[in-house]
Amino acid sequence: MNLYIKGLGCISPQNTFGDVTFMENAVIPEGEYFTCVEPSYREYIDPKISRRMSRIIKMGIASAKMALADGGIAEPGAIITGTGLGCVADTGQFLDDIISSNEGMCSPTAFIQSTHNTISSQIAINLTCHSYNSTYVQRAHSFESALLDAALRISDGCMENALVGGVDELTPRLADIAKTMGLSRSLRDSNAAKGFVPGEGSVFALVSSDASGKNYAKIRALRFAANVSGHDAVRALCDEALREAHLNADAVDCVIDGNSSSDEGEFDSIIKSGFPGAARVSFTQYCGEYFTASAFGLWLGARIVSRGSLPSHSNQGGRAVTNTLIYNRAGDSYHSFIILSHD
Amino acid sequence: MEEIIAKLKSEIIAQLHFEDMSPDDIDADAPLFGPDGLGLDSIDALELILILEKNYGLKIADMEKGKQILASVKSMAEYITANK
Amino acid sequence: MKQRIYITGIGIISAAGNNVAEVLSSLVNRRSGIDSIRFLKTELSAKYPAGEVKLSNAELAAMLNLPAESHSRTFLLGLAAAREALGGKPTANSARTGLISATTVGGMDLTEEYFAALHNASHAARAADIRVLFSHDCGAATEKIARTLGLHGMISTVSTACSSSANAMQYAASLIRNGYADRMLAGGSDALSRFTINGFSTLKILDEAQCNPFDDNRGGLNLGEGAAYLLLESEESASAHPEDILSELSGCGNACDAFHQTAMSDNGEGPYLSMKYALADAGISIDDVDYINLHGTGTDNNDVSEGRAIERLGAKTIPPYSTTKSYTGHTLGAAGAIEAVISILSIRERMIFPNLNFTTRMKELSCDPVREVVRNVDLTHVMSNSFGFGGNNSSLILSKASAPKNKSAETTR
Repeated sequence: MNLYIKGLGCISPQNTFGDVTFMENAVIPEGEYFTCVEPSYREYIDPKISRRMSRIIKMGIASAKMALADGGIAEPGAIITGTGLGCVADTGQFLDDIISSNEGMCSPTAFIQSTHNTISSQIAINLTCHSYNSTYVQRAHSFESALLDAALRISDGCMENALVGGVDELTPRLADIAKTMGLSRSLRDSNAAKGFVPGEGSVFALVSSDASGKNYAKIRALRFAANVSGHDAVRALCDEALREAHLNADAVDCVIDGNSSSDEGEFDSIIKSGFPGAARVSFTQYCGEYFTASAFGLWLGARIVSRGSLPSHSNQGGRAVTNTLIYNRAGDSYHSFIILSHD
Repeated sequence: MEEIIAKLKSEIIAQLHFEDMSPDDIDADAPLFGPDGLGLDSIDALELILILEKNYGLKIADMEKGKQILASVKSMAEYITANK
Repeated sequence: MKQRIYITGIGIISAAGNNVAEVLSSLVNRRSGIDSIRFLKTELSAKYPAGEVKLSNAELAAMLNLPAESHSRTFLLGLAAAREALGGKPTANSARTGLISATTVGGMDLTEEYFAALHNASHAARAADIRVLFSHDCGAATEKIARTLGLHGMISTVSTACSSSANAMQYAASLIRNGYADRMLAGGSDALSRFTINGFSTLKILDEAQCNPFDDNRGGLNLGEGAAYLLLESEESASAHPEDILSELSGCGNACDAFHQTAMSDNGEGPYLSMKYALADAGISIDDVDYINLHGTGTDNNDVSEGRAIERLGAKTIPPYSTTKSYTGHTLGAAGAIEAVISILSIRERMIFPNLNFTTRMKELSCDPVREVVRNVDLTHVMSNSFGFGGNNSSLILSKASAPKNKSAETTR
């Protein structure tokens, strides 16, 4: 795979847009879970139109436009989004309307914005972009599916570049549901066995086959599978990624990891046994856990590779990085490996 | 009539999410749709119909007639007054 | 040269029939599946007819030999169609067989029951179990179908409103061409839900009578539910059993209207580009298309925009076209795959199925849709359209397997 990251846009619980101070200073949220630091949306969306947009749509449009501006492209060859749960606030709103009115009079706005493809569509409407447009909704591989679709279409010559995003929002109701289902814990609770800390974010990358000009990083490999378990099988998937990248394991300087499964031991052993000499930084400590958190992992990886070193606040800050592996695991069986390089 | 116009303006601001607006910003005689007015679209039209149904118990069966009723805040108020 | 993608299996369940044979019989006998709603508990059941599958959840579970527990209807419909598409074909080498599904509603049928039960004691008590929410997201049913069928290849789910399963087929074809799989089940499933029927009702685009799409006096759409999957296979894999080849997926197009969240542009720019790209991808012109299976929902907006877009393609003679949504209702995320299966049946049976309930030509258009069952017709290329909310427009070209690419430039092999 030879895909270049030309632009990035990131709205997350950290300072990751505008004057990006995250690589020097990480924000530790004050609440129970991670919520995004948001821009003033007027800069990205006409207030007459944004008035009825819910947060997730505004986040999506703004971060997509940030990535385009960053990459210096006005109209992308494709817009492909991954989202695990879609527009949760609008879905909840419409459900409430149906129930409270006993299927009487409900607001159409909440319904039309509740569909999962609203983010990709609204970006296209904002840009008047007629290009290929799609939305993937496969849990923790929603973003990976979007990225693979873009990579294959670019490599097949359908287009030169694509805007690829991973977007999910956290509402108070959703946080409460995750807690009641026994999946999550509060940020204030350090006992990881109780579950993950919920988060949210919207990350877009402008990816291209064009190597010239400024690039954050090259994506050399993308391998993921949703039905893999056991050390050997996961290791085999990781090796596939290394082969795709034409890299040996010892060329990986840094592993960026995210794990929402309860099996810390097995997750840990894949990394320690496979990459004993690599620096290691977990990305979910910055953005929390959500279905498309691996997009934040990609953003972090691209930033690290581009500057050549880890964030100053990581305990291995300053260490030189050329090749980085992003390994995300969700539940027992969703695993994804992305390899980024400086070249 | 003035009372209904004032009430409608607040309801429009709330239902159509004009958070930065106050009732004084809306001209009761100005067209609601199109570039000269608030610039509402087809989804907003449905929300206005919902306001009439939910808050005033009035249904619009004929969409052609509906366009005239929804032309401005004043025409909506007149429709409400005529059908009380 | 682009690798060919063959279709070697089809499966379908809809209001018009619970499998391929039943659906074909309905199509040939002009028997619409749109009727009063029987199973979905909704205050709107008396107001709107719909294309509901004629089996309850309990009957579906029994038919599928599933234990009696809470299953999302989207999963049940999906499994039924996926199983039929896979047929009795062995899943040895299951690591190279994957599933790309599509849905708009996911497990919402269970979710809405759960929240209603919290709010209102008169709904089923079982819905108070929060664990049903594990089935809520769009990817849940896909995972479950793959696991039940023993498929160990790549899985994913597309959600682009009414074009979802057409886009699932495009992605599946791309994965096969690039070596990520030998075979992919591709398609989608959507079940009726209070969420959807109320949603469409608020948009005032539902017909209170049986729909009459592409008619000048059309009154809106009828919602439907169902599922369909197609087994897509690489050339190499299909060549081992050519007797199973039904058709070729010879072209795919995807374009965004980029105009409005629910309304299509007047001149149908998105649909026009979608069809144009599909034709270019197949290496054919509109004059090579023998039949168009329309998106044709019956709404004022879709039908005029789609009709205009077709006329813009510049055909010497506009190909015969019809919508089969008057048989199945609008099956949302499943529509692309359901209509791809119907298109393949058209090719296989050498028939064109009619546009039911049509009487009056739309004033904006220059021709009528097909009104009667047409038999003994050779269809080499069929175009199937799926145009969704948000301007997500997709078109597929299904072809007789190994047909020459361009009639006017045919060469001997």
